[in-house]
Amino acid sequence: MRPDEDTDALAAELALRVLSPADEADAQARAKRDPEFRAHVDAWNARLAALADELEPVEPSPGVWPRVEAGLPAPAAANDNHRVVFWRRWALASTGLLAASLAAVAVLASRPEPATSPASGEAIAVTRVATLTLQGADAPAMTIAYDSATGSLYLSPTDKMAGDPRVPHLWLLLPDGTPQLVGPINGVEVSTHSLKGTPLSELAASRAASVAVSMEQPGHTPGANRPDGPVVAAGDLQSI
Amino acid sequence: MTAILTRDQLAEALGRTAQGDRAAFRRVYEATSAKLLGVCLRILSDRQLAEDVLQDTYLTVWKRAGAFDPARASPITWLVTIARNRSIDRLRSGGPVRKAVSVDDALEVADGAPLASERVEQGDEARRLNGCLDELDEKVARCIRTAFFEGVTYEVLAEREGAPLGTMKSWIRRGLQRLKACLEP
Repeated sequence: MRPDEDTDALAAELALRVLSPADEADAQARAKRDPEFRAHVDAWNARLAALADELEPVEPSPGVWPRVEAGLPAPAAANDNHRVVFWRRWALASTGLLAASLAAVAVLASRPEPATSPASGEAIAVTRVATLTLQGADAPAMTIAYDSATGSLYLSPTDKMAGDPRVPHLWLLLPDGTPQLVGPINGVEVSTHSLKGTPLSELAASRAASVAVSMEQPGHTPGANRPDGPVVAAGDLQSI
Repeated sequence: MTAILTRDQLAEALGRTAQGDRAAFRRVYEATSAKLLGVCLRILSDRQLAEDVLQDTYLTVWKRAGAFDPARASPITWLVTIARNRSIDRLRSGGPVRKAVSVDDALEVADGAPLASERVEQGDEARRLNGCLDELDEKVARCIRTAFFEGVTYEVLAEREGAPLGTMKSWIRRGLQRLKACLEP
């Protein structure tokens, strides 16, 4: 085989995914550093992808999109031109700095004296926080923080809910104990939900007394005022 | 909820997704998630696992949308490739055990080529690809299909066909070369 044919053959094998793990790792490393080789791989992907045309489409369960959405970084600012704000938040969430600043907020919240401002003032002006603990075990399951100015709800779960096939749903609890559904959340990774412009934003800002997480079957959406699955974690929502 | 988008509309929605436009991202999801779940399910044979990987696939799409170049790839090819690769990665990660495949499903899996009557829905590219696969040795075409749809390596293919590993490699390599020549005469 000529060298260029050899290159193309390897690209085809990488695209088809028939190589052994060791050979595949080598080929992937080459694709990263060799644009010409990568172009061969792309061309093979394009040729082979047409095979997927014969597969029947399968409509995903309604629960998949909320899980995708919950996994996205902080939402774009209300004004779409505010790209700078969006990217700063995105960077914050994706580098784990958000998780770090939430931890700082939680520490501040546990002090007897109200904190004058969160440790990290950048893009976050948190007014209420909660640490949810697992029911039946005194282990933290998640830290949440709410910014009433922007309506952003930041969620930073621990690893306690990882591996559960059910979908965690977040609830705000009014002082009389009435739950109000916020929606499905990501139980594994840091995520942000925007409550801006919804009736929930006012509840989260002042009226809600605590928060809870229920575990619902995949694809199932509980009623707005009543979880159907078990409540696995809860905590008081404190003002700071 | 499957919305029909043209190739250009889909490419544009991906471009907007790259800029952080969630509504555009949602349009991409609505137009393509059923197709991509079909791909994940074919490789993983387990609905829940496939939906997990589908979720993962779209998070990858969100992150990598900036790398999509409409001049170099069709949007659906790009998406199918991500879904297939994520599914194969999960299959090989030694994660949750794959659900046993029923005999009927296994037979369906073994019977690679679709009937001509089942191909009416296919696009031009798929028709050409299948035409070219039909020109290969039947056994080689079957191995290429199995590799695509099940994400198995040379080693597994050789075992299944009762052929030496080296023989399987040269079958597939030559088969793919002929396939390319047939597609781009």
